[in-house]
Amino acid sequence: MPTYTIRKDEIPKLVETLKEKYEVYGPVPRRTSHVFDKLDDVSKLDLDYDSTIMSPKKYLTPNRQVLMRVGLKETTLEDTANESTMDTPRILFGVHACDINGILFLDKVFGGKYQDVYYASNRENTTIVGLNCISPCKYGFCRSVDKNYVFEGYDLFLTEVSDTHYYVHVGTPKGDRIITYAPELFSETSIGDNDLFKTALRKKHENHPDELYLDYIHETLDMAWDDEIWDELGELCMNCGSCAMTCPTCYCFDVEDDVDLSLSTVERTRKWDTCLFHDFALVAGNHNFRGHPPSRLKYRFYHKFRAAIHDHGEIACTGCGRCIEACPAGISIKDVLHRLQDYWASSPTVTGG
Amino acid sequence: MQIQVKRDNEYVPDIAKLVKKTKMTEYEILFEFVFDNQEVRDLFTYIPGQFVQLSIFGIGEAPFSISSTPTRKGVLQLGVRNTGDLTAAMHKLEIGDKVGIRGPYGNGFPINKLKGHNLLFVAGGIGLVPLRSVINYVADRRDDFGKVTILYGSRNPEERVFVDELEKTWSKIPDFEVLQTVDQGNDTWEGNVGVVTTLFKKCLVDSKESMALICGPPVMYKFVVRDLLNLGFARDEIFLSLERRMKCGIGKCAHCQVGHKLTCMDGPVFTYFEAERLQESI
Ligand SMILES: Cc1cc2nc3c(=O)[nH]c(=O)nc-3n(C[C@H](O)[C@H](O)[C@H](O)COP(=O)(O)OP(=O)(O)OC[C@H]3O[C@@H](n4cnc5c(N)ncnc54)[C@H](O)[C@@H]3O)c2cc1C
Ligand code: SF4
Ligand code: SF4
Ligand code: FES
Repeated sequence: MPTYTIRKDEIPKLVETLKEKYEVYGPVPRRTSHVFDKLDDVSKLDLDYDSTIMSPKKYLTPNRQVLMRVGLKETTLEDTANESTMDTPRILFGVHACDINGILFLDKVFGGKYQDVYYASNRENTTIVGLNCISPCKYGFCRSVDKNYVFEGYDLFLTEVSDTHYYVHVGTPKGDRIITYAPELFSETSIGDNDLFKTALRKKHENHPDELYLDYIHETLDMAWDDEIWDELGELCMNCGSCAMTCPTCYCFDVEDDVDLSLSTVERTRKWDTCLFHDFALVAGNHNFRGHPPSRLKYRFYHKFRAAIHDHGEIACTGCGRCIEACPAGISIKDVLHRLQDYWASSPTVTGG
Repeated sequence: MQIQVKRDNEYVPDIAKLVKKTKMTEYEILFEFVFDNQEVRDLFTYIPGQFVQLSIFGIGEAPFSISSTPTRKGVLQLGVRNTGDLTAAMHKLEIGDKVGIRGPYGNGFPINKLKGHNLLFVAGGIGLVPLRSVINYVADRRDDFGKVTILYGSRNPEERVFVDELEKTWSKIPDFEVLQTVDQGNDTWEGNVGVVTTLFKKCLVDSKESMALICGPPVMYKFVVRDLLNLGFARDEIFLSLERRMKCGIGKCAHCQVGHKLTCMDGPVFTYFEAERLQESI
């Protein structure tokens, strides 16, 4: 199986070459953090980034997606699924393992018995260049939830093996195409490169703490349903939804019919939604299944670490830490899990969370 | 086996036309729709207890249980209570008006498991809408099922739905027993007064060889289930249909999560064994 190396200082040249065929997106600095953005100016690309404010899910299931257009006069339906097949294919450059795991989770949500064609066409049209994290980011806890590595989900995957080079794994034909577009920038690996790769992984193991025990989390959440922790956190939480908006695995949506001013066409549109919002479980007759704010905060945990296991066979958290950074109330999902697990599952406390 | 119309985009509904509208009460109307597309009309079938997503374009989409039975082909009926934006617009529909319909979705009642058993139906208010689908299915396939007992409770006599079928059709079928009650009677009401569980004392319910199907307002479930357990029904011989807010109907939007399951995919029909394990379900 061929693997390659590429010089770090050749990355801008690679991106420039790829821009002839793709729209390329990657991490660029924004205020004190980074965001994924279109690389109009390749020099802005900063692969030495900690994390991004929003996860790359915004490219696969955007905040606003028109599902269909309806002509009201004759009741005509126009399926807009094809419009989301963008003409120019996209590359997401420099996606961390946690976020690739987030995408693999979304693949399950939007796949299955009923394929979501909007997601599927965005996904198909996107090439992912992954990037290994040798050092952990500030708020992340990916290793604790077993999401610090990927077996699949990337097309190319870069691992920094020295100050000058990345080691390159090729995951799919889509990734292979990148190599063939700029063959002069990639060299086949030698035994020496493999040794460097192993050293890099060893460093990664040493750097990433394993600080949470999630054994029995399923039972914990059932037993802790009436735990006072929820009321305590519910007092702090403002139900602002920042945690869910920034999260790579939160996928809830609302659907609305947007009518144009002439009242002749409707755009049925889906928009990001979150279980933190007051009307999420509100039904006709003003009955709200989760009217009490703490019950909504609790539900976010319950969905991620209990329901997702039922629905998709895995927890819906990649340990990316974005919700911890985003929360104006200072609620840390890691600390909450820690407390729950310490109490309900007798988990050995490793660091103080 | 269920034949589904193959469609590329599950979110795009098929267009259907309103062909019949029957007022049942002040707030409930029984609607009958026919799909425009002949192929869809031919292939559309469902299991009693499943639901469809109905679109009034410009207002939105909402889930409704199918109230007709698949044994009567070509008929698609929904019994709808006027309670908000979309249902109010539905009530204003005129014959010939177009709506969108997609589905059927959800699991439905487990017809094969019910076969060969006596069936006890306990319905409250418009909870009779989905149960009517099973009741008429059983009526049309009489030999496949045992004795049928229907217990129906409403707030008052005027709010009862499907009164003609209750009194003139079902009660006349051999081995069908229909008992009704209202919370509050009126001058002409001569029947039972009291909550639906008071009917248990008025009929001979034998839990042996029996399955119970219940549907009604959330408050009803606890009391009905308690009595059924006392009568000796096992937890997985009690089926109930749940309602939650829904946006997609196909397991994507997460609005309908109940405990760790999805009402639209894992339900809306759950056994009491399952419901007992779903936080906040009943
Ligand atoms: C599986 C299932 C079967 C149902 N079967 C029937 C039936 O046979 N007859 C009947 O009259 N009603 C039924 N309902 C309830 C019906 O869906 C609501 O009454 C309807 O959504 C109210 O919409 P509205 O726009 O008039 O109300 P509004 O209060 O204006 O609601 C706005 C939107 O919220 C959502 N919503 C509100 N209430 C509900 C609800 N209870 N369930 C799901 N989404 C909701 C819908 O998307 C709706 O369009 C069923 C619900 C479910 C989940
Ligand atoms: S829950 Fe928080 S830490 Fe987990 S994936 Fe979502 S944003 Fe990241
Ligand atoms: S970000 Fe914090 S305050 Fe906002 S909804 Fe999430 S937990 Fe609550
Ligand atoms: S209605 Fe969307 S997930 Fe069930």
